[in-house]
Amino acid sequence: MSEILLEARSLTKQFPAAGKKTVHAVSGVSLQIREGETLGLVGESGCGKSTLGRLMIRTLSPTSGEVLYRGQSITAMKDREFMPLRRELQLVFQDPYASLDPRMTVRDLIAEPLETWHICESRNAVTARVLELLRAVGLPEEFLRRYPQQFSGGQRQRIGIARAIAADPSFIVCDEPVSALDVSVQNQILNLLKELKASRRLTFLFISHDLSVVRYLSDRVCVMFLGRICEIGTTEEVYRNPRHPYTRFLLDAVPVPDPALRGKEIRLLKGDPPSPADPPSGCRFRTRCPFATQRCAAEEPELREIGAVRAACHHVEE
Amino acid sequence: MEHNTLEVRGLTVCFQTAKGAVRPVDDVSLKIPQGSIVGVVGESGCGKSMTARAVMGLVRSPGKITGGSVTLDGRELTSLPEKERRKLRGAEISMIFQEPMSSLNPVMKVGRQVAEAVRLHTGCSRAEARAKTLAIFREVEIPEPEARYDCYPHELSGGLRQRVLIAMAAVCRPKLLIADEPTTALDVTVEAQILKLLERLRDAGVSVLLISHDLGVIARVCDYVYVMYAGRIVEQAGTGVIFDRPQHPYTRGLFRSVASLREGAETLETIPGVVPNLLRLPAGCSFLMRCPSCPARCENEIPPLAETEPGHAVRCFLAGKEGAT
Ligand SMILES: Nc1ncnc2c1ncn2[C@@H]1O[C@H](COP(=O)(O)OP(=O)(O)OP(=O)(O)O)[C@@H](O)[C@H]1O
Ligand code: SF4
Ligand code: SF4
Ligand SMILES: [Mg+2]
Repeated sequence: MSEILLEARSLTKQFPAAGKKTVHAVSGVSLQIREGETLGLVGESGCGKSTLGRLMIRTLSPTSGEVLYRGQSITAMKDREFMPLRRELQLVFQDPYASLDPRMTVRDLIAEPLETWHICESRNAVTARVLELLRAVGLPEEFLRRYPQQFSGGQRQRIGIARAIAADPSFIVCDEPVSALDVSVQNQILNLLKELKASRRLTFLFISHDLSVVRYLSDRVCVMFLGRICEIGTTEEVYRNPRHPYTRFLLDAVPVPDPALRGKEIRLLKGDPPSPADPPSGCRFRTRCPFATQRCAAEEPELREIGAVRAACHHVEE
Repeated sequence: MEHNTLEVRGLTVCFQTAKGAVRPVDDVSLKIPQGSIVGVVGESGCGKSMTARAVMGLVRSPGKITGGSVTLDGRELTSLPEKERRKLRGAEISMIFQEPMSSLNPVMKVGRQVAEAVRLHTGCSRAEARAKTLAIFREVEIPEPEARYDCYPHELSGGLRQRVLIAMAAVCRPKLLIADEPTTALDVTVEAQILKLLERLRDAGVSVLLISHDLGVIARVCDYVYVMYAGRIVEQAGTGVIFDRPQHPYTRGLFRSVASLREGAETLETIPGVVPNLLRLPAGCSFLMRCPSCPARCENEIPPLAETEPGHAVRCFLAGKEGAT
């Protein structure tokens, strides 16, 4: 098995909120990501996916806990120490519309990380490398001198990806990279990411609320609910045989593009996710969980091995 | 006889840009039978939202409705003075958007926002408006409606905000509800609830125009579907029919893309190329550049939207012909 590239140890991130409250965005999350693997991260909005993603690459610092990159804590590092690692850890944003400076040409956008890290010797070398990157993400050369607003969402996302891979990072957090795109275009980007993953041996944390998208790219999946991991395991296991009640509801709720299934009564989960500023005691899912008991209110379930996955639930067995 | 709440005929919206005129909505006709959910599906920029805005009378300058008619229960809307239209909005036609935050006032308590809408359209007293607001909050299953009444939008989850918007849209019992990607920003478990809510409104007699890019959502709740591409309707049929036998190469490409992802194909199906620039549409079929099978004719002539079977129309020269892909 390959080396552990990144590891989260009891990562916790709290944000101050109005009324002297605290938002528990990420609470005691521990996980490992191996080199070359894609870990999918799913869960409802506000459950802490993006926060966790940003903690993993130190664009956000944790309230407690730490992140290890190749066994070394990047949390404890001084900024100067961390600097050279910055280029190893990249981010692809959700919104290809907002994340590109409209005043910069495609060349300058993609050249920016190359120049920041002094990766190329000369201006010409930079341009040559930009052209290479354009090819890698499937964009034609003539885009070089154009501005982002002239492009479609998919094309902009390709530019965003080119920027992220420009400095040859080892780890990329993709935060909802295709959710602003149309299906046909989304598939092009997913094909591209899959190809880059193989050809560049990239390691991804792939965040999406779309379960089919996550399934397609991920080797393992991590399901989060309100700042905590509910279930984590190989993609196949989790989708084929979800153990945690929340995972089951989540998979059930996905609208299937088949009108023949319309009559099928879907089990609706009650209510909304509780506020992360006011998480329930014990199991954070308990206010929506149909199987909740007193124990669930009193005691927080730990992640434990259940069959081939790990899940945090008092009442689920093999 | 079936009564159409909304009838749109030959609707055309034109924008004068520095580089020429574009028509994001080009000769669009659609109808919504009373008490049904009609879907409009298509890629971004295809004109779905603009169609909705045109129906609402919300096309902003430099855009202009340059042709066609929109009738609500037989009443022509395009020629109504703005003042009349404003009265209609919120009362007879309501709209909800993808991002509820953008349609809520961030510094006003949500209950008051809904109550003011009620007062604006019914002229009832404050106390009545409050009671109506709380009743509709309950109806759209906002938990603890009294407590939520006094919340500011940012204090609510995305799902709750969307419920508030639906409450605001439904409180005056509109004839038509236009929902533009109402669940796109929501989580699936909440999406499922919101879709249920739309179905309940439909069952209560509200006609719904549902704009979505999500075929799963369309399949789950729509009775009839229009597929838009580059400003035009390219295919329309009952939901069961269009999923069973899509005819237009674009519709097929779209459905295959979704299916391949669901099935976890090794390489996902895509539609090659990108949506054409509206400024440089081909003289003929606008799907031309991406179409796997286009005879020479498609280059010069815009294919008509022609019926291939009752209730199923396709804008493609090859539709219904053997060998069409
Ligand atoms: N002010 C404007 N000037 C020129 N063109 C415009 C203007 N506003 C919108 N358009 C164009 O109209 C077309 C349709 O826009 P519209 O927002 O209706 O599409 P849509 O299918 O709803 O897209 P999305 O799903 O991304 O919202 C787009 O090509 C857009 O660029
Ligand atoms: S621990 Fe209890 S509340 Fe939490 S998921 Fe399991 S059964 Fe439900
Ligand atoms: S009309 Fe021609 S180009 Fe257009 S979709 Fe049909 S076959 Fe393709
Ligand atoms: Mg739109």
